[in-house]
Amino acid sequence: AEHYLDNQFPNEDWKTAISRVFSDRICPNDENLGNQIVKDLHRTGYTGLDLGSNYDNQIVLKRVLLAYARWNQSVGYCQGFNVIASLILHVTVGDEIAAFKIMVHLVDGVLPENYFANNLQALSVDMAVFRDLLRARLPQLSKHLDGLQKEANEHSSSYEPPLTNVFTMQWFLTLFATCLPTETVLRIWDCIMLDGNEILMRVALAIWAKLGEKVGEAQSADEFYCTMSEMMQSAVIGKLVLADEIIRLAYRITSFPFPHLSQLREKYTFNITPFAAENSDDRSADENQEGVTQNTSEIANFDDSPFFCFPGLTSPIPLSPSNTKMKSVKQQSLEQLPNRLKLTESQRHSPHNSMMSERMSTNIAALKHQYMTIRRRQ
Amino acid sequence: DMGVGKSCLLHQFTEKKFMADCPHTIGVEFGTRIIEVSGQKIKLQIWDTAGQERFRAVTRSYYRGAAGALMVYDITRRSTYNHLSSWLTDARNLTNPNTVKFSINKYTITGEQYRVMKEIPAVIWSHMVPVQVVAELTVSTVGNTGTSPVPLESSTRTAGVLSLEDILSLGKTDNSSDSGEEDVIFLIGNKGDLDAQRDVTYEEAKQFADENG
Repeated sequence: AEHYLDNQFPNEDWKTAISRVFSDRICPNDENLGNQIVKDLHRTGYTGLDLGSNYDNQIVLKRVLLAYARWNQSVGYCQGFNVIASLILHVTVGDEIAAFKIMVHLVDGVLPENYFANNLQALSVDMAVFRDLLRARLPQLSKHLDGLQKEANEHSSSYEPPLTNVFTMQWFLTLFATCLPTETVLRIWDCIMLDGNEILMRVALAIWAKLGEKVGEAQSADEFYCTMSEMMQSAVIGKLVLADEIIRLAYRITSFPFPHLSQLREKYTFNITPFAAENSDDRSADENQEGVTQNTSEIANFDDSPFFCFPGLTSPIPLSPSNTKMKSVKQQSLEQLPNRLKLTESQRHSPHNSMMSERMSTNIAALKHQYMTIRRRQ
Repeated sequence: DMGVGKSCLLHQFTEKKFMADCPHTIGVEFGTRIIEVSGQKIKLQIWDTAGQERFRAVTRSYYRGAAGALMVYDITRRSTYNHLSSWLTDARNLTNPNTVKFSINKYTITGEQYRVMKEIPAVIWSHMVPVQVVAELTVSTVGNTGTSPVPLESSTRTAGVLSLEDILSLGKTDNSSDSGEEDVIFLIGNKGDLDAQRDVTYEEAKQFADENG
């Protein structure tokens, strides 16, 4: 965190900044912020750590949350920060300045921008991106869930949002702190800090892979939610998934960086408009594809996207099936699946989109190589 | 709005237990309970949404297709009452358009009460459970036939078994005589135990409910 802060803000005098954000003097926005934070202090508790119950801990927690909100006013306080900050404070053994720095590093540096602000836009994007990744990596489970969603929509006038959303939203927002035991969460956080926010996607995929079999038995959306709520209760006390197993799986899924992740995020950032009620971010996968055609042109204009810089390099790289032996159909192993994103139904129908997917399958390593060659020539 | 006691109400309803320091909701949570209405078993699926303004965009999709909604405010914080109309707009825009609303103000015990009580020595506190609260219940239904108030006896209840199901079953019973397909929105003025700090009167809340059907 120190390293990040020094690099990112070389001109910041940290002593002054720290005393500013931790100042006892009341700032203009403090009342509103303070009210919101105080509302959540006593209800921060979750299994494993009970910081919420201790009055002294609550005061320190409040100071850290207020300090962050003063530091980054565009983000302020977001529900869920209390969970993150209390776990950080647990690690720093109550050192509020260290906790503040880690918080800044994590929220401003490691996690995508707008994860906690601006209507949580980036979180909505990641929820949509995750559904795509799930479709590609665990197609059976994804198909089953889509089926349940569709059925629920047909059966009544009601509308069922994508089934994974409830969970991914919470997992990503608290970085798994509310769904896994503390020791596991801390190991995951180490990974996030070391290897970036794509660990969120990897761990979430690994969890779904573990849940897959049981979830596959659910015959309706309602049954799915009930099963999930039971399973998540045992997950939080460590009875469902083992830390070693989850982390190993998360790293084995695919190479780093996660292929196509940044492209998918970009795509959905343009596609999602959480502000308009009609264009809810939770449109079904098929609907989501409708906007793609028009958006690809937008994305294609992006100069900094390495992906479109070399239009000549669009031939798909042959897949390297590292492990060909199949375990069981149910226990779909994530790493056995091709590195290439599967096309969704509507993408197949649209020539434009299929071309885009072809491009997506371009190996980043090849691009890097090409880039280096060009630079050498220059 | 945040901290009005939505999750606490849900927890009471599904677990039949009062939960002190009920953790706040991150995003959305799911609750379910089977109730019996006129001999028929009905499974209720309840979505509990996060109250903070910024979550609205991500929780909205869970309104769609709802058969009913509970709008909760905190009687001790006027701001939560003032925001009702914007929540109502969302609820109206995203649910069934031909909506009938029931309005109910109900007093319950929530985390706030517990916080206040925690300052009382533990011995006394333990003797105070279950806390007796008087629930004021007035139901007014507005349908095609106009207003038909259903007076309910004031009853003494204990914390933790405050029966939200009474409200819901009332809604269901009355609704079944109508077309039965309409959505219902309830208004709940929460934290009635903190009457001394009351910021929103029962009458004005009732007026709000009546004005909005």
